[in-house]
Amino acid sequence: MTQTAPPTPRRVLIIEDQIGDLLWLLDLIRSRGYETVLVTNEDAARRRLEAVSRGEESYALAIVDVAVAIKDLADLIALDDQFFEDSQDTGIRLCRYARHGLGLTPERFTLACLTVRDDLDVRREMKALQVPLFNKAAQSPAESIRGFIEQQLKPPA
Amino acid sequence: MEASSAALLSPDEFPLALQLAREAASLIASPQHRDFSGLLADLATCIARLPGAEAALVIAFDEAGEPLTSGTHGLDLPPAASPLEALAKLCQDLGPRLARPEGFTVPPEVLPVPGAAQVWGLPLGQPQTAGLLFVATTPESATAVQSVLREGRTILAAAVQSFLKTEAWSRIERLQNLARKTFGKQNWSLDKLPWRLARLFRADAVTILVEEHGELRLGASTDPRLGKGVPVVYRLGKGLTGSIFASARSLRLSNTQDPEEIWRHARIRRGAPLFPERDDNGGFFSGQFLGVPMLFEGKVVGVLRMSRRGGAARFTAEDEKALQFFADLLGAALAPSWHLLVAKSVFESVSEAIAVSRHERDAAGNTISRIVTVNAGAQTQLGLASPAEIQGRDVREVYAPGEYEKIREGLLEKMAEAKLKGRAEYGPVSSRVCREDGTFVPVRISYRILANRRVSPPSLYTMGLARETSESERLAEQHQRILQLLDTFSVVYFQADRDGWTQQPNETESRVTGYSLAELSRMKREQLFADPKKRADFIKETREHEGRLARRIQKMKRKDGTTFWAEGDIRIVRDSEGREVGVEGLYRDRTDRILVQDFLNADTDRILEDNELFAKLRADAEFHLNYLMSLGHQLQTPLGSLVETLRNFEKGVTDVQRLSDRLPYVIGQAVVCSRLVRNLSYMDKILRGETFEREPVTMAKLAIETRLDFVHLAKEKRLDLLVDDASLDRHLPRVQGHRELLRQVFVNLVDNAIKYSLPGTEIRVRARVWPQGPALEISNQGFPIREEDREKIFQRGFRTRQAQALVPHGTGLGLWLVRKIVEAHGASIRCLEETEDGQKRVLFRILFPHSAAGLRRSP
Repeated sequence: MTQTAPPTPRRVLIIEDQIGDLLWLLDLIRSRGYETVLVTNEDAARRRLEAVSRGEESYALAIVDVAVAIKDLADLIALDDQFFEDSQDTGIRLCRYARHGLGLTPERFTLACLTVRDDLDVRREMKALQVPLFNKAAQSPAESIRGFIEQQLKPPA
Repeated sequence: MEASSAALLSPDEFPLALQLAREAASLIASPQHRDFSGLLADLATCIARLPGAEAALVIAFDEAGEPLTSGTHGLDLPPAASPLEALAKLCQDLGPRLARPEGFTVPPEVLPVPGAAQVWGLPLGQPQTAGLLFVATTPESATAVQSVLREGRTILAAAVQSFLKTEAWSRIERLQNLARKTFGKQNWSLDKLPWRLARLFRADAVTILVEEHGELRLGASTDPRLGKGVPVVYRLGKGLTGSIFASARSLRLSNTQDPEEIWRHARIRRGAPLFPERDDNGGFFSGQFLGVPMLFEGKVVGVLRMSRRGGAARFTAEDEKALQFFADLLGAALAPSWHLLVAKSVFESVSEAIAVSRHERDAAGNTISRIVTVNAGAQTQLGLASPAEIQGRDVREVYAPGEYEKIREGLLEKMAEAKLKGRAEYGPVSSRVCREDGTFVPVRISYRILANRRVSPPSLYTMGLARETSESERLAEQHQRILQLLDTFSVVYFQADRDGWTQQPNETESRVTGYSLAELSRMKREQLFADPKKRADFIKETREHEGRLARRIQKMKRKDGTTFWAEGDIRIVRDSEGREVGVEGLYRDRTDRILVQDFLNADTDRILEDNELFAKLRADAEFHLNYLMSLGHQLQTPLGSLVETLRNFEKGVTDVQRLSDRLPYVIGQAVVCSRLVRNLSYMDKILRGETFEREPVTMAKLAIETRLDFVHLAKEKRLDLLVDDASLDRHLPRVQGHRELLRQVFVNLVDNAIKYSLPGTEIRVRARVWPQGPALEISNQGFPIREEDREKIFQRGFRTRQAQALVPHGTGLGLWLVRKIVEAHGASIRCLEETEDGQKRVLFRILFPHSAAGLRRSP
């Protein structure tokens, strides 16, 4: 079966629990003619990525917050006493899972990460996973996720 | 030949002889003069009145046959350096003639007389010569006069000897008067005696020396320079004075420059005088010397000595007797005043150990105190076989090593006082003395220092009255020392009776609590507790812990109302029969430490061990680093959002309409940023314990303002933020406090409620009244907080695992800060769970004291 490259989906997956901080990003993405799909915790994000790996869903791009909530509040309440994994690098875990666990290579799936931490180990790991890492702090458009989006998401012809 | 002529008196001569005898007898019976030579001169006048006699001279001899003095009527002694020398020369020139009992003719060159007169001499008295008479007569009447004088010689000799006695007796009388006048006074002084004695004995220098601890020391002298510079000290046998001291016999010398005479009388070979009196020219006296011992009970208690210039009238045996008479009176007066005083003191209290020591200078000039005597008590206490064992020993040896040095300074000070006042007291002091067997005995010693001011310089005797320290005294002392030690560490020791009254309040507690000693003794100890009821619990707990509790922390209250944290040990005190009689304990102010521990989120009901504290401090330092990072992260997102929202508009990504939709969010985010920064500055204020000005803060208004700040965030999560301002107005209209700090309480609690609420639920803010006071309550429906976490969530940096899972970025400071602010307002905060409308809700209740919320909002 010959694989022809499927048309680039005009959808962006956003994995972020504090979306209030990123409304501007939604505006930007939408202004380029893309839909946004918002996932607010690690659990839900995994399911989406798994769907992508199975070819059930496709996205032009997935933007992951390095520290996204593990579960939604209601789920957490239900879990009650269970042990929680470290919540500080949920986004990294997701990228690792996509690349290695699900085989979503850079060629197959574009990922970008947002962080407030500029730790060297995070940078190094993201580089290895070939996931560009952007800081949430304001910076020059070229260096920010804004520049990346402008480059990745072509406005409709 | 002359003997035969003596037998005959002519009828003319007989009445003359009778007349002479009558006159001499009259002089003997009622001497007009008290002066010896004056009496002799009177006698000479009687002789010169004999017909044919022109002048007469009478010389008295002493008992040794030496010329003593003379009296004259018109017949002068040959010129010489002194009357005594002239007499001596006269006797010498006359040589063997003197031995002729019938008289002799005096050659003119020996005793020159004016005119044609011839001088005839006659020894008076047989066989011992009482004296000599010389008479100048005309040649024609010589025989008659000689006959009359030979006939009258017995009565003349008797007159001379009588005069000698008379003078002696009159002097004795005067000495008796002097003694009566001097010693009869209460505080008699030796000072003037030498001058009086000098006048009575016609001496040129008189010195009184007083025995003092086996030596003679200066008592008083006519020579003011004596003893200035070098103290006068005569030891036994040293010098003329020392030989009198040693022999207890008087010494009379006619020439102190004659070594042979000195050897003959004193059996010493003397060099230069040791401490001679000086004359007006600064040279020392030499010549005659008379010294007598002052005896009392067979013991020499001093020496009285006098000197007369060579050539003046000779000191006689009568002088010697008279002086001895006075010396004995003086000795009797002096001795009891000192020796009896010491003896009396020593034996007065025989039950105690008494040691008398004397302060003296050793050969090197160092002062040293040596034991003089000890009583039986001291003998027992020190384990001595006899008092002699210790006599003369340096007192330092009596004390345990180092003990004497502790009291030395105090003693020296009192010695100086005794020198001035005669006596001084020191002590009682606690010390230890060394027994002969080398063991130490703890004692209490009282000192009495007596200065013997009869000698110059005054000598000092220290009498130590030592009593073995009783067990209870020792304990009391130990107790006192421990208290002092505790005081240096600001540790309070207290004792209280069963009813909680402080026993013997001390300065340390007074200092720590601010109450005076009097106030402490009048108040119950529970009043020192921040919560007086806590004391009873504390005692109860102590009883349950076998009567002891160690290192407990209690919140205490000072007089000025401020509180402090005391760490203490407490013990139930029981009497010998096991009945509880009170409590005692120690505590110290550990507020600083507790504040540090509190800041570090450590326990505040005990003082951490050092390693625990250091671990906490390390964790705290790490926390601060993490906190800074976390804060940075939290600021980044909203600021980034703000910039990017505006950039969207700038780049035409969004239009005006969209921008105005977005603005409330970004403004909200900016508010979040500034809230974070504000938290920082409040945190600083609270941590520094800064006092802040209070004003009436309307709680309803604050709640509504907070609601407005959060309206968009709430909307985003579909949450209803309900403020029951009616209940706030009713129950908690105003709080005396700091508006911005209180706003922070609202902000942090509402912010949390929004973060952790289930979508579509309500956040409720209201006031209620509880028996303890009005309360502000903020509740939400969301994350339940487990029972065991409800206190911990107020600890700095603590976050539940659920909270961490839901909001990965968080500082764990919000609730901690809320509690700090609440407590600074005198209120308290608790986290509770309540069930309302069948739903479990998380509730934060801030309970204000009635006083803090007493103001109603004016209508």
